[in-house]
Amino acid sequence: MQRLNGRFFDGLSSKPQQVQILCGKDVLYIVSTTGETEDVNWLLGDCYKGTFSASGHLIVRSRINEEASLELKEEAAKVVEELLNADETLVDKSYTSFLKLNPVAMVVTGVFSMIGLLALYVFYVSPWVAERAVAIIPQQVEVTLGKAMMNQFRLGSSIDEEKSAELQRFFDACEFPSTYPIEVHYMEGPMVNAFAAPGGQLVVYEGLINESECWDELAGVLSHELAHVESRHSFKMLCRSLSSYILLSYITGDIAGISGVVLENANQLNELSYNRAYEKEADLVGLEFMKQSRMRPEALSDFFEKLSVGSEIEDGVWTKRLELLSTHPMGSTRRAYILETIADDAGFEYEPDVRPELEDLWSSLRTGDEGINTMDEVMEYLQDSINVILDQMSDEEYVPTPPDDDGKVYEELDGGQTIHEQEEIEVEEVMEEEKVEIFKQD
Amino acid sequence: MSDLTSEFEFQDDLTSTSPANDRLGFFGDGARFFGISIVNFLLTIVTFGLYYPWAKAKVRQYLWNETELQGSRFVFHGTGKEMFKGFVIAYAVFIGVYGLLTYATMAQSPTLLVIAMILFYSVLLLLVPIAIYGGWRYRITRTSWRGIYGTFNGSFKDWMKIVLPGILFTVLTFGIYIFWLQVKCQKYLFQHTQFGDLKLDFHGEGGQLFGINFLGGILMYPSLFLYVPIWIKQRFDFTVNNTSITDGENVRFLQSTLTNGEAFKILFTNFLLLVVTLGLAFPWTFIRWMKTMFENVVFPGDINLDNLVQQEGANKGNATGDEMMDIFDMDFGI
Repeated sequence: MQRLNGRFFDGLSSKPQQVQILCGKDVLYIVSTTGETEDVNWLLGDCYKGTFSASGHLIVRSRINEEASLELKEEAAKVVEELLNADETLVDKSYTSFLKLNPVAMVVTGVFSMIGLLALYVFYVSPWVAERAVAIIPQQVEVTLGKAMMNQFRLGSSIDEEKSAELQRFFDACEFPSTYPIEVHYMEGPMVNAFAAPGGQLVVYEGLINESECWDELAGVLSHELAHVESRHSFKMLCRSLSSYILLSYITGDIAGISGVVLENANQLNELSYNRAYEKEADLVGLEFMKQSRMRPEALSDFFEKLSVGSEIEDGVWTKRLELLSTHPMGSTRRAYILETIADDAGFEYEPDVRPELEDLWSSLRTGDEGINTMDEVMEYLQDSINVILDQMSDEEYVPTPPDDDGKVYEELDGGQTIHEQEEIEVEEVMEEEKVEIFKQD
Repeated sequence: MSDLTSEFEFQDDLTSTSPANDRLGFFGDGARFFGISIVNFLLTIVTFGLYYPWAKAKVRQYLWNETELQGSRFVFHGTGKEMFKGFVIAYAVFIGVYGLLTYATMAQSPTLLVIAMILFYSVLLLLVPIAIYGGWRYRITRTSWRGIYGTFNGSFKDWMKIVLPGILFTVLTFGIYIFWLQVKCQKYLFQHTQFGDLKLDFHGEGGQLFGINFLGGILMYPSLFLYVPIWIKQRFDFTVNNTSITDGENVRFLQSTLTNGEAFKILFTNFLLLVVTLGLAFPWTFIRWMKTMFENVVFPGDINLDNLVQQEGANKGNATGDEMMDIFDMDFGI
């Protein structure tokens, strides 16, 4: 039998008692070496230790006498630990077996499994959870949320109520099938943009209407935005960011900061890629709407052609953005799959209805011929706006930049407005510039 | 066989004469702690976060067990099961109040919004002292050394009698009073804590703490944050040097031997490590700092730690029946 040295504590005081431990087959005989205390026998089956083997130190306790404890060091500790290892729970085993790896292997395995799991969660589990969650949340909640968001948005922007009403009439006349109460808003400003907030709030910019060349192009954009609403894309995006970011950062709370970095980047990538999937879905569902209202489906692809021509011709970094990092499929790609869908589906072989009332509404909504949708135009526009403000401050007469040959932004200002009115519009439009970044979703 | 029996060295063997001054020892290892954290992480993810209280228990078990005083290690007896209750309640409260706030926002009803916000902020405000009290009490009563458990005989009511007016004063003084409140709270917690018949006390002064933090705040930016390790060291000293233990006869103070130089070296290199590894080195930096702190705490030599006597009601209960406060061990740190 092995004889080991140790210290015994009876749990009533902290006085150490030197003991010798004899390891029997199923029992530990604990014998006092000073004769001061009684000997104790502990059945191995009753003994337990902590999960982790501390460095060269072991504390053993027995279930029949929870207060007492036995302390062992170095070799003695190792011996008794071996005897007790057979008893490990599964959970404890996962710790000890992982810790048995050599440090390098452990770190490498650890880091990779961590990143792997995080990626799995962010790209697969979290979106799935969010989409299920959205299904549970009733439509009314979404509508209320959308209205609240619109109210916030309204505060900083110039929505033309009259034109919004006209645009609403246009939309209603399109007779797209819709399960949501759709409210369309007309926003002043030369930006070629439109977006959908949750619950049926649509916003279309002046510039977009101006840029379109016939009424069915506008109808096409509206059908696309409606598709976003019907498919609850905006709301899903919201739920997805919440779910992946908050939930995961709580779960991984006290692990390294790297999870935060991975999370943030994965989140962005995830959002971008999903955004593009949503955009494509919206295009295709929008086409269905166009089909049901018997409108010319090519109108949507025509419109995208205009946009992509604009941004591809101008040179510079702006147009070289990678498809991967863009929230929208590039204009030319979109055109391609839209035209392909139209060609493949026999349902599109109809003669589009002639809609004079829509034609008229569209004409009256237009305030000019073009909007801003290339980087150069944006820069020039911003520059002029700043000049307006500076001139306002120095009380000089404002003379607008003479329009270029292709008839650009300032046509609408030639209509005999006073200088002050011009300036007010300019200042407001500078503010809207910032919103392009946030809301660009057409 | 004989080499096994000779392998035994304790400083204070059988004779137990007054030992020399004793330091705490800390034997934690960064790699092992990393391993434990990884397994914790994996299990937590797989259980959608439910494993978290058990993970916390494992961390504490490891840290306690690697801390040594006079050759004996500490033991943490808390379990995930116990901590799970508090965990669930904490989250239920948060979700409940936050949900109310969200609902009030969506319903756009001003009165409901006001009520919800008041509720939200008061819950937040109250949760901190509750968590501090509960957390302290839980950890003390679940810690043992040589079989002697910590006991806590404070009362939650008395604690809140200190904290609530304290919060009020802090708000009225634009935050200045917080240092005096902190000292008062620390005093209360220490004075009601015992290990066996060994009593703790705290002798810090609010003004001193204020001075340390004021200096820290002022020098922080001009020194480009290089002063921060020294600030941390001063706060460490303040806590350690003002802590006393008594065995009924003598009152002796703990002593910090941490130097500015060492604090700066460890904390600054820790910071660099964290930045370079995007936070992955956290287990190593954490263990490193724990080791630095613990091994710079000196226990006075003439307090005899060999004859502490286990108290009544030790081991998971305590005399004043504050057990329900157990569920409020809600700090999400260590």
